[in-house]
Amino acid sequence: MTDLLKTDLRRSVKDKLFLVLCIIGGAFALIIPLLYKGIFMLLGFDQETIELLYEMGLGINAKSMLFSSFSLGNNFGLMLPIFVTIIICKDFSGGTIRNKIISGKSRASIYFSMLITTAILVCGFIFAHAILTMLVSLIFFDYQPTAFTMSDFGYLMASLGMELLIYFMVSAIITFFIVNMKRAGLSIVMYFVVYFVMTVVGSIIGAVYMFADPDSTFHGFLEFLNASNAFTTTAIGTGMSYALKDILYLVLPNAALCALIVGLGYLTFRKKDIK
Amino acid sequence: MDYVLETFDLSKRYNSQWALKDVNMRVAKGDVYGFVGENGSGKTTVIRLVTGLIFPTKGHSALFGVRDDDPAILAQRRRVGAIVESPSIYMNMSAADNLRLQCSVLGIKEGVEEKVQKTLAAVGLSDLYESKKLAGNFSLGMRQRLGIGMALIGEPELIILDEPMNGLDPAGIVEVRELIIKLNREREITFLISSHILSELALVATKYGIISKGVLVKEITTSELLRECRASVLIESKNTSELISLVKSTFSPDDYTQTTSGVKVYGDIDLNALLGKIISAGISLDSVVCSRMGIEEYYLSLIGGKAND
Repeated sequence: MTDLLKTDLRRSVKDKLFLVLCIIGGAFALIIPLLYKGIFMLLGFDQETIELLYEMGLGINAKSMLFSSFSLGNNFGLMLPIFVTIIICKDFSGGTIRNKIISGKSRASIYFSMLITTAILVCGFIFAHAILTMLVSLIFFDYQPTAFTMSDFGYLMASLGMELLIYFMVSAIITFFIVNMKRAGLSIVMYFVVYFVMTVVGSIIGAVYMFADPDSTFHGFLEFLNASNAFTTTAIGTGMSYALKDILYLVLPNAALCALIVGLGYLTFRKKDIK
Repeated sequence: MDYVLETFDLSKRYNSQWALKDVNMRVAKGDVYGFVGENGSGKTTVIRLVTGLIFPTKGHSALFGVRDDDPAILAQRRRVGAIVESPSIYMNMSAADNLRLQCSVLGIKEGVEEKVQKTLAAVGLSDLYESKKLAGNFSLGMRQRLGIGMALIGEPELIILDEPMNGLDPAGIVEVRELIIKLNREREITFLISSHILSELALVATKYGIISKGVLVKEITTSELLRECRASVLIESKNTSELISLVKSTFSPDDYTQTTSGVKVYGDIDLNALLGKIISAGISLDSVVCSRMGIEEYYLSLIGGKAND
């Protein structure tokens, strides 16, 4: 599989869209913090006001910029699946996937190489974009209102780990649709159908949760659903520490979902006719 | 005999439609196997099945004696190079980069540059080794040759080419044909070449498989084919009806066909005797043309009708 993985990565990096993604990701990382700084300057906000706004949940600092950059509904988070799907799907549209099968590569190695390549592209780009956004933000804003401690570092690492899980799931969904649809357009449409369904469902669950009896089991179940919806979760990076419940609610169901999507994707690809 | 490729009742059904029904074919080592059939006859389906792109509904195939449901088939596929339908190349890469990437797929790590250079030379694209020209800007013939190069770089023992002459100009057809002959003779590579035009394969094939409507109608060697292609005499006359009556009384219905201005008689006949009979019956002759049945005619007679093209 190493040979295939090298091939997939090499051809992805050589794709013009890879360069386009680098430019877009870099441009957003530079422009967005700059825009916020500009707006705050225009409004005449000083550092104290900015920190006050942050405490009210409205403000901006490097930490909030870092985690908002990870949002699936944000500019780059929305664009990334489109570009990566087009890059990966070229193996099907150009017929080059046939070379791999004819060369005696197993369906498993082809599928997992494609999945890992997708994950490296998706996670690599989103992490590079988010970290660059944070670094640019640090020029204009503090990381957070309080001093950065070792516990903040632990919290940061845990948060990044959870983002990695979410983006791995996005990669698994993308790969699942690519191997089943074999066309970039259809795969992108299907991804966004899932994205919008999950977002709408997340909003409905969120609304019902607010009005449910806080002592009921139903409330607890809604809390679980609310926290585990990777598409709408706001639990990552917005606090100072995690309760064990937060981690279990977010990590376990999504890890299981990832395994399910990957397994289903492989099972369907294993016996899929390739034309 | 060593068979490089065999199929056993190979069948494929799409929904309720059988695209392929009980195909039993054998490609021996060293053959240039011409796989002929009209468009939609099932040639590409057979090729997809034997290369593992699609799965059979019934039956199986074997490469170098290994069945396609045996896990060892993957190692045997490594001994095969193929172009299915169109050359599978990365259009946003140069010829050399495409070959380097194929080396990477095949896990070739040693002497990659030498292999790339040699392969480009073998397919007549040497001047593209250092060229940055992208495959997307190549002519159809260049793409076809690069596709053959991609199939060739792993030093396969069997090369499967699906309609390799499609879209090529006459010069391109000659180039590809000469390349196939050279590789077959010099490197002893076995070829399976599909085409919907039998005459395209006539100069290269050593054996033919003729497929129609998903059924393998006949497997025939080139020498058998030439024997089967019978001699014929076209006799034209103004007294067509009398001529036909005379021929009818002399030959069985399988041995002649009527034309608009005369009759065509098949087989190694005694021409002098026939012409003497016609003249003594007072039938005037306009023309007498002797010929042998073309392989296209033979092919059409096998599949029972006109080809689509």
